[in-house]
Amino acid sequence: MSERMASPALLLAEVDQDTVLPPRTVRPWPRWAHPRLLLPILVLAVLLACAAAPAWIAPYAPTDMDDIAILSPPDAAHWLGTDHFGRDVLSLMIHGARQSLLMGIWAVLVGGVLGGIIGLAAGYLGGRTDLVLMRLLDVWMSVPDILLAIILAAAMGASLTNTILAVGLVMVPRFARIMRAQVLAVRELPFVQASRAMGTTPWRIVWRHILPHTVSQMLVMATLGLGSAILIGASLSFIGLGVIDDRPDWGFLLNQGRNYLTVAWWFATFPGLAITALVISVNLLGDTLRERLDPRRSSR
Amino acid sequence: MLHRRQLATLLAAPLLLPAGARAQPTSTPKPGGELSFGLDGAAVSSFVLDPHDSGFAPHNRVFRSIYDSLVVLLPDQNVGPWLATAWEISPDRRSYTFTLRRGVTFHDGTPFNAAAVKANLDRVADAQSRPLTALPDIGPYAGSEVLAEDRVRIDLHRPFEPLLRNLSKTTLGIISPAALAKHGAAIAQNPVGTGPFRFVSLVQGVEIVLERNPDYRWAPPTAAHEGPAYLQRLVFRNVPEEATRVAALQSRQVHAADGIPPQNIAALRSASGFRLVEKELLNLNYTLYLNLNKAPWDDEDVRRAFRLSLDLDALVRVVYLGTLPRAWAPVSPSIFASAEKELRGSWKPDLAEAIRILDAKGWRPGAGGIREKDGKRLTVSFADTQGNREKRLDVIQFARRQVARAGFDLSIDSQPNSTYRQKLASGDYDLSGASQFAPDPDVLARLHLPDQRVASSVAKTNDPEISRWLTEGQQEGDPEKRADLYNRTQRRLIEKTYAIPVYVLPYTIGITTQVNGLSIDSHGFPEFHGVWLNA
Amino acid sequence: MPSHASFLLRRGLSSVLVIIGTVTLVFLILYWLPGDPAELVAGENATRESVARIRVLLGTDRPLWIQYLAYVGDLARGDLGTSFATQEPVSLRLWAQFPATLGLTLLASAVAIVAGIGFGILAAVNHGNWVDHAIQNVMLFLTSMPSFWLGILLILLFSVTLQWLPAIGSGSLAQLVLPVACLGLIAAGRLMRMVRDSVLDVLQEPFVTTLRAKGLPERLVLFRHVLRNALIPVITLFGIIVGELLSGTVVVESLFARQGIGRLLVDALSMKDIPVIQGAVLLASISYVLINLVVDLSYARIDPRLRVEG
Repeated sequence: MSERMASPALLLAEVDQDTVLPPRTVRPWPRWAHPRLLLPILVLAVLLACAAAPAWIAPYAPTDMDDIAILSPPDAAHWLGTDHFGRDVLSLMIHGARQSLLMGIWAVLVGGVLGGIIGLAAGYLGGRTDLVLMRLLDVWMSVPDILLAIILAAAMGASLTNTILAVGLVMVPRFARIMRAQVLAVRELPFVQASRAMGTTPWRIVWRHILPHTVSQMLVMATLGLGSAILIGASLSFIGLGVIDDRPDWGFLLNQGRNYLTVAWWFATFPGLAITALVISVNLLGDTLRERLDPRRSSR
Repeated sequence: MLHRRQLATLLAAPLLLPAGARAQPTSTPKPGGELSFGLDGAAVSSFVLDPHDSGFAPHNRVFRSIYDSLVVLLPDQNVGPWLATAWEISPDRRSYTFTLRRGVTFHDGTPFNAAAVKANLDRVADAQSRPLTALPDIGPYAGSEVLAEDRVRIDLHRPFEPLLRNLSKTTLGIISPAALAKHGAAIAQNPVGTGPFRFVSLVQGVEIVLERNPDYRWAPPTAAHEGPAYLQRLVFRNVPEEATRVAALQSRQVHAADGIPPQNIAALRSASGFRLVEKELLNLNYTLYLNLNKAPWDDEDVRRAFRLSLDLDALVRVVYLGTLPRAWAPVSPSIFASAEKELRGSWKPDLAEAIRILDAKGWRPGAGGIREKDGKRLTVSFADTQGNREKRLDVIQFARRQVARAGFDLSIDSQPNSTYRQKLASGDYDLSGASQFAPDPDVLARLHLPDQRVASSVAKTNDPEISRWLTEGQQEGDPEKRADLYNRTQRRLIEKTYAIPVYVLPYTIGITTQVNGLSIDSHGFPEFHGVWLNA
Repeated sequence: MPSHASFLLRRGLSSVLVIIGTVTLVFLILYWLPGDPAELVAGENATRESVARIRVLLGTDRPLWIQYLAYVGDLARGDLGTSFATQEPVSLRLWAQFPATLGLTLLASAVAIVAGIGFGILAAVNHGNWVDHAIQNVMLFLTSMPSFWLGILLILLFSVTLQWLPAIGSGSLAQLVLPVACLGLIAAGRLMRMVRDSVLDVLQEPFVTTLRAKGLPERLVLFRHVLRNALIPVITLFGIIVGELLSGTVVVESLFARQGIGRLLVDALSMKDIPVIQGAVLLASISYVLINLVVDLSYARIDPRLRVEG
């Protein structure tokens, strides 16, 4: 069971290692690596810049409401039009980039740290601990993602912290599984066993030998997880559990804008495209990372 | 939108009415057919078809087709005969004797009579395990006495002037006593009334199917005809998503849909093939209530400063795109004794004055422009559960920006319904908003009269004068004096800034031009009795 | 190597354990939530006394562990409890909604499988050329879109503009097309990637080269030999996809005004109708565990090497 109930992204990673497939023949990288790597890096660079200094980049403050330009189409003054309050959609999106990234990154951190600890404990301690922890994760995963996020968010009430927690907790199992698989692979390597035989403390072994070997796969998972986190966050907005803020995140904007699609297409379309671009970018980046960091090619 | 124009030209052009025109049947009504109605069921997807037990407006919009009332509310806000043909009020105004219409039968064949009226009212009064929603509608009800098959007397512990109007409400619709005995609480899924349509089936949260009651001959005097409805079937489909609801109408998957959002009103009005029918809902307007038990609202000046920092004209114009008027009085303009006229222009937004008051009160600007006093930030927590129904969340988001200029930090605390109710009951909020449909200004007592309101009331008003006027208002037999009591109450609610009314809601239905004769009753609920469809 | 029977037994047992665990987890989350269901059941005119009385009636006044034991006890007897909101048996409420969700999920899975495998193979055999790129890019876009956005765009295009398909409701096949497309296309995107990679991997195996060298027609190589091997990892993904589809129904059912478990759940959450939430989650988790069990078993059947683990 434990091998089956994993997220697709995780599975893609795991299958590479667990199944008995022969290594792929190396593909000619440069033919398609460029757009697949350049595009996401470019997109993410722009987003990070927006998130870092929105006030410098955005033409207007996110709170500026132009009473006479409500739902006005894109023009010279408002490149991406205005929303139902007469706010500049472009500026909202630039400021919202920070909210969306913040939410996604924190959720991934929550999931990664918690999942990492669980996976580490399960993989390193093995035996009964492993069994109990893995069954616990099975339980965790048997409630589908969005359902669990909705239950948690509804339970705690809508706020940025609670949304981060809800989405982060949903992502714990996939990190735990990756971590466990990695730890299991490294644990029995000769140099780790030698180190253990020399009487190195477990903490030191974990810190010096095991964790460094798991970083790359966890990084891949984190990248892919960022995409899922943002999509789950958007779904929460749709259900009415979005975070209300002067600087709404993209999911919230898209959710507000969708009711205006027939009268003001720009209001939903641009935030929707932004989310999609971000998710595509992190997916492409995660894939590329995974292929480059493939243990069979690099570390072994 | 192009496609619709194309489609319209394809259709027989002479049938199309000019945009915005009222549906005057150009030919004789054609019986038969099925009307599909897209209902704005908001977030609540379990249908409760027990009129005595749901104060939720979307449910009540369905009740009118299944259940009739003893009296009907007339356009002039007086009541007229319906299932009761006449009534007498005793000199002490504590007894109402109704003469009932003969020959009326429930959908299950049970005759409608004095015993049925008594059974219904006794049921509302009897709080078995929990009080029914309609309980406040009958006020100090003491009991009913069956005088004859067609005569019933309702006795009260003390005069209760709102009674007649309340009897015209859907919430006091008359249920078959036989069905009540048979189904018990399950009447909510098996409704049986005397109305123009009878219940066929229900898919919980999704659709309600009704069919024509062929025996119907007792339509109220407000109806265009007395006999059975024209439609063979009437299907209410719950479509909570506004964009989907409008799409279903535009694609003609439904013949009519309510809760048309402001952004689509203009488009539907100008589109050929569609029309809008609208009418003010008799309503305690959507109002912001300040929790008076708690700082900072225990200080009248701070309340005033808060209101002065709000520009409601701009707010309502922006959020509702000019489709509905802002409210000045707590109760909507058409309700008896509404103080809308008296209160119009009673206050003006004045940011400078708001700032001056707050400065004088010792609230000094702090970090991020939010004022502070003794290390406490001027944070106002708005408790909410409804999501963006009627764009109420947009109202608060907009208000949040406005009051921030004066240094208020309006935070939005959106909670699931159960948590929200608990917060209201425990008083753990500063601000909340609500509306409530009602035909009589006595509805104010349910919020502002401490011993008649529920623990989880949004309003915490405790003003001796208001309490006195509201108590007297229930008992004052002279309409003019009674109107004055409610008028004074409303003026004081505004003068003391206990409550801030926001907008007047017109109930809006979008229909295809295939639909004729759709009307909205004096309460603001849709009537399907006179509806017929073009081929 | 354990026998087939004991493998079945162990897998079955662990499935039951997972379901019990899920029930417990959800129970704990729900009761830890703030908000008193009695307050809602008691209605708008509730007095403090009537709320207290209803609390006793619902049993929510008892200590948590007693409530838990009572719930598990009822569950063992097949009793899912009574809805706080409508006083109907939970099993009845679930049963009324389940067929609609099941139909939606099954059809969406079918779309996902057909489109996912079809486009996956198409992309793999066209590896590197424009067909491959086009398929990959379109699918990447679809899987990266928030599902409610895709849904509303489908409604605007096919219901409002073209007037081909109904936007709302459940019952007829036509009413299933848009929601199924919305759910199925997103899942198809994930499946497509997996199939493509897997087929490419198998195509590079020595046995394929041997078969080709023997002069076997390319079509036979592909469909008789490559696909068989390539689909092993894909089957695994199917279990996950069903889980995602179940999740997705929450959004899709609300958007397309369909009946179903997802919508029931959202409603129950706002009302804090705990027995209904419990029942809905239980149903979702049982379906999920069952499907994964089936997937595991078929997996083991296709590839006996994998029977050892569990």
